[in-house]
Amino acid sequence: MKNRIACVALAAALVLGVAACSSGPPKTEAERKADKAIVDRVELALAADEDLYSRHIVVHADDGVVRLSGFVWDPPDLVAAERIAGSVQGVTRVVNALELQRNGVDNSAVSR
Amino acid sequence: MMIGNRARDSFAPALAVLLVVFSYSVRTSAQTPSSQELENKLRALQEQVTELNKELQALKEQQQQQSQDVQKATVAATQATETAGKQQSAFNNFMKGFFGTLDASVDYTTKGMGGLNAYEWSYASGAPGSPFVQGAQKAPPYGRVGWLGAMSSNGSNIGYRGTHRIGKSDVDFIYQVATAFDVVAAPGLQNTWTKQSNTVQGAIGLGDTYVGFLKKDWGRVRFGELYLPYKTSTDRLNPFSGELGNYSVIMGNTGGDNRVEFGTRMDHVFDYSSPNFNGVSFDLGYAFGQQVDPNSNLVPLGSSDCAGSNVPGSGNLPINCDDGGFDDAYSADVKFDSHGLYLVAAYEMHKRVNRSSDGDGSNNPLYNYWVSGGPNGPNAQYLDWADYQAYAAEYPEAAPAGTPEFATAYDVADEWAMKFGGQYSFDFGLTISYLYEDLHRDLPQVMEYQNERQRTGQWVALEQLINGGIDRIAVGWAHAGATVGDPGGQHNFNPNGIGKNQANMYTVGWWHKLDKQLTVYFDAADTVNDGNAHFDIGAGGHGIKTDCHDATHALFIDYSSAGPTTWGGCHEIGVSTGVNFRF
Repeated sequence: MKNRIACVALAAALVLGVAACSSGPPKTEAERKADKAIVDRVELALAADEDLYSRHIVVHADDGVVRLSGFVWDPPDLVAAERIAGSVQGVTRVVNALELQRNGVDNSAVSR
Repeated sequence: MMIGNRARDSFAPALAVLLVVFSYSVRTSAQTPSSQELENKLRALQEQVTELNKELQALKEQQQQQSQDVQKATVAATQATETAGKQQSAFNNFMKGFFGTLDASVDYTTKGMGGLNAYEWSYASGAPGSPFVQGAQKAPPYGRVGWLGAMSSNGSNIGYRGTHRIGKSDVDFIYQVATAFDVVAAPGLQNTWTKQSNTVQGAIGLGDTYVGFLKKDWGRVRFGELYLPYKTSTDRLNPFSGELGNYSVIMGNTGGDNRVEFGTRMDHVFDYSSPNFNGVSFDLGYAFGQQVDPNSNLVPLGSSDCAGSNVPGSGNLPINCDDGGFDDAYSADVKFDSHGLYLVAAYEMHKRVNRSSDGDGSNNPLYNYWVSGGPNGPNAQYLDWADYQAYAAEYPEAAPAGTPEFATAYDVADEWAMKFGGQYSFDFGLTISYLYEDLHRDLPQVMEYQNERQRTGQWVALEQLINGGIDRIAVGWAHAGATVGDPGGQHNFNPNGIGKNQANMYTVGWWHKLDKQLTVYFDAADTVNDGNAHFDIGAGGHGIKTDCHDATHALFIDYSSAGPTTWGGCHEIGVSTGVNFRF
């Protein structure tokens, strides 16, 4: 019972905390343009790769730090996307938050 | 504009002509004395000049108006283009939210049961402690248990994932709706003699479906039907996902057969994923059990199936969720991921798992010992519900009016698993993966003899990219350690073989990309079971299961063979070739 209450409390705190959080100090127009340029370059580089299917990769940039989120389908693509993004001009670091898409039915009910 | 210019150009010479005419007229009038005529002509000419000036002014105004109109039209066209661009971008973003994969294969597999024999067993003295005595031989495996061709849909799904920025904050509301469907067969419950479930294949919501919140610096929370962190944290170590011989045949699969207990998608899940701290991240998951029965015997509130992924009655108990139903589940992982190195540790707990259906099979000499005194006899307290129900069905004249109450000795206990492993990807395209797993079922000592859920497992995979990533080949090996006990549910259970239920699985695969989205593959797997083990080659996502069940589908032959008859020691082999398209 205590565990359950703790989990519910944790969930509520996270939701409220996230929801209550406001945005940080605004960036200048030049900074925004620089971030956007990096995002465009990384997206182009990902799309240009002959083997990587990057349709569901989301790219964010913040002062040269690129964050990859979304998902890919094959395990090697997790590494490939990070490598490609890291090779783009202006990228100082890559935060790889990509997930692996495994959404089919991975289980089967069976007796015994 | 052109008309205006042309008019201006033509009226200037006209004015010059008029002035010449006027001068000539003046000179002529000096020669002719009629002043009245001259005055009239002059007035007429002045009127013409005035009219021409008016027309010239009108043309100038018209030209100005046209210029303004053109400017307005240009602005309007620019605005329309921008609006259309925004709409197109919004539409593209919307369309980008759709995703899916279509995967179908042609398989050729064998259950490898040829030559397996089953015998009756009993105690020499009729009671535990005395040697086992082998009795008469029983019937061999029934049905087509050799090589068989099949077409299979493997992990095919379709879904939509989106985000919605909340007001002017930097917090996103996130959502996903998915469904898993069959590419090669009509949707439905697909209940068979080895699988009983109320879950509708192809229905919206069968697949990771959730709502949640995401803030880059805070992490992500989700609520929905989801895989738990224990499962997702090691997905990348499994190059054979959805195919024959993928690691879920043994890893996370506590009892063999097709169900992957520590790798199943759960209802009513809350999870949290942390941000990435210099390569380190963690995930927490909790599944509300929503279980009213203290022994996890009922379908959870709001669910369509028992928590153990089957319908009440699976395991031949028509009312209860006692074939692995459980209450709350907790799951967590911690990961390190940087420069091709991935390290992971994960843990998951299932509370109050009801395994009464794991009761002693009639091939276990204990079965006869328990029932020798009748359902209310001196040994009946050790006979769990599965045994009792089976006994009552087989000997209705001996069944009492009521059923025995549960006691701690009955088969309801916590199950937990932990695993750790790693992966490293070399620059030349080789990826090495290793995973070690420890599965536990916390049974009291008196029940340990039938604990087939507690063991270790290992997985090793080598994966090599070739032709610049166009081709990929992989080999894998999984090993299931011996369990603590065995209820003897296999039709050919050998009581002298307690602990002889290890298994090894070998898998090879080749994938060739026709383009970024379309892949063809070939895959082969071989599972070698010890005499009492019954692992398969299709658990964990492959559509068609090739397992250790023969074709027996009579309700009761004896308890151990009720429904699907399981044969320990089967040796499944399969090859599969298919196509996979994702969008």
